Amino acid sequence: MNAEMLVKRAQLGDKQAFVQLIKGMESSLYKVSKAILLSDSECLDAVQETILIAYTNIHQVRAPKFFKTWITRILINECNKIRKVQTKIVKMNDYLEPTTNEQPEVFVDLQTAIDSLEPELRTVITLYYYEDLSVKEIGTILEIAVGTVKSRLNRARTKLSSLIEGHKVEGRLLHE
Amino acid sequence: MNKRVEELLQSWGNDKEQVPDFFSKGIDNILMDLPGSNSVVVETKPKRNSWIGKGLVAAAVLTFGVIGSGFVSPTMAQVLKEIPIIGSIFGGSPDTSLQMIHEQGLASQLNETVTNNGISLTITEAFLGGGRIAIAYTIETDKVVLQDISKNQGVPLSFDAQLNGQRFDYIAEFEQHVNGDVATGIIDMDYGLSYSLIDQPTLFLNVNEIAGVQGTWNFELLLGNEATSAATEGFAPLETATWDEATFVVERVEFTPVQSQIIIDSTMPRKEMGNYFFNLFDENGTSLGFGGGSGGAVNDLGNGMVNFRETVLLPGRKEAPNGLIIEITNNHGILGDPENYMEVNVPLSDTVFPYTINYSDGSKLIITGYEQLANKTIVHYDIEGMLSLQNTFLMLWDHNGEVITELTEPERTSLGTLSFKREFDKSEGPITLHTSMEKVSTIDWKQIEIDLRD
Repeated sequence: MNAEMLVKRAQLGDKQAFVQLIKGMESSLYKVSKAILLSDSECLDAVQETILIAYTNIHQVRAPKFFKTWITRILINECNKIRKVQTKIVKMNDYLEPTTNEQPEVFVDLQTAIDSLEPELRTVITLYYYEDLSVKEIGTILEIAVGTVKSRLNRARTKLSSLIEGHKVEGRLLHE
Repeated sequence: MNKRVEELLQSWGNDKEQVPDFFSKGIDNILMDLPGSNSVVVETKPKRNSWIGKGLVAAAVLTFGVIGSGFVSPTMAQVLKEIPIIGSIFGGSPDTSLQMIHEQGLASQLNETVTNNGISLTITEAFLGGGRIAIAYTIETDKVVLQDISKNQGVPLSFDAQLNGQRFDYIAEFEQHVNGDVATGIIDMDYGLSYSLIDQPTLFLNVNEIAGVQGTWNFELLLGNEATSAATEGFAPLETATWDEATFVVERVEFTPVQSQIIIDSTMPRKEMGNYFFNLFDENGTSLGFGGGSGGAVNDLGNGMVNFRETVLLPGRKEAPNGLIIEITNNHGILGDPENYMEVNVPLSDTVFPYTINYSDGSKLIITGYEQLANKTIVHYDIEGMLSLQNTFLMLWDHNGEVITELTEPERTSLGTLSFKREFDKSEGPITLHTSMEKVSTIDWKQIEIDLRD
């Protein structure tokens, strides 16, 4: 049964359809939450909260084809809530960006390089390449303009190039 | 861009990795703990510190005084001049309920403009009613490229909003159409009804980004008007129903041409929260549709009892019905068991009508016929028992097993009987109707009838 049919059934109160829908998205939910949060347990907290919100509000999805963007938006909101709490308890020094004089580490492994990106960039890379979402859909999910999505994607690609290939990016490396 | 990195990213995106075992089990746990029905939304909303809201309002008012310019360029003036001719921004929306705002003259005319960073934002009209706020706007700029946005397919601008100085929960959707350097669009907001609004509340709309350009476009908009009040039919039936230890009071019913809402006050044992849900019908048993819902704070009454208010949002109606039938269902906290579901397939081409599908609670769905027309396929059916059955899940498959797209919501075809039709895309050859049902019913239901004109 395809996802749109499952959404429609879930909207009509079919819990089993909702369960199937979520189980089919397990990998996506993990990957998206991992793009924003540090630990797997925090990812699970965010995903569990997302599932509860989605279950009780699925009737708000006006067309089944929008379910994926809708639940991803909820998940990102939940991840950001957890991230905000983290930010409050982490020392400011932990968030200081490296200066442009520092030699960037050259990463051979793409996953490690992606993990080293700022959450904003990691999120758009994950949504675009892993979730196959369009820049328009990503804009909707993150509540940012399409142009901002494109510029974040470009910044992420440039940084990844630098991290993987060891290319220097003049004066803008690791700066938003 | 580095070609190798692009290839690596494409390959990374295609590698659908296994999730950690504990993560998968954690998802299973939360899915097992879900209540059996998801049709009622009950959320606890934490009280907010009022000083936060007041501070933000003060900042908004101050900024508005500095930024607000009221400048309207010749291009924008021309667009504004043309709006009444083309039928207002609401009139041009593909959303029929928003069109109704124009047709019934329900919008408040505002035409307030703020210009910042080379972008002029004008709020032309606004509507408030039935739990919905709709704001029509135009954007004029030659600084950035504006984009067409279909409903729920993008975010043309970012904003914060407050009503009467208080933050409130809302879900916003957008639509926008671009013509050259000018965009016309609508911000469409559903808000929960824990908020008791006065007739003409003030909306503080603080826009902080347009088309990727950050800036400050602040507005103070007086919402609501006499036309909307005149088109709104409100009732306070205060009808009470009980089910075991649960009590439901239908507090307020409000119908507007754009959106309607019903507020139900519920008191029940805490352990039964989530067991009940509501379906709304007119006095003849025709579904009033469903447009979402929200819940207020849950109050602990002691002795294991809780009280909360829920708002059920419904599509707009030009006229209020004479009465309401509220069908309350109770799953008694029993979770849906996949083993308890069965699939039902009816090969319509080989079936003698009427064909009855019997449900385990005694309800019936009677297929009375179907038509394969040049441009659509129509399935006709009657129901007996649960009124909710008129909206039950029905699918059509063609002879290849492909789904035939459903085109319309169920439509009542006779007031004398509970007869309905549903339209699907055109089809040829043998087709099969598909649905599913519980083998053993786990849901009980009751109906409350309310005479609104009494």
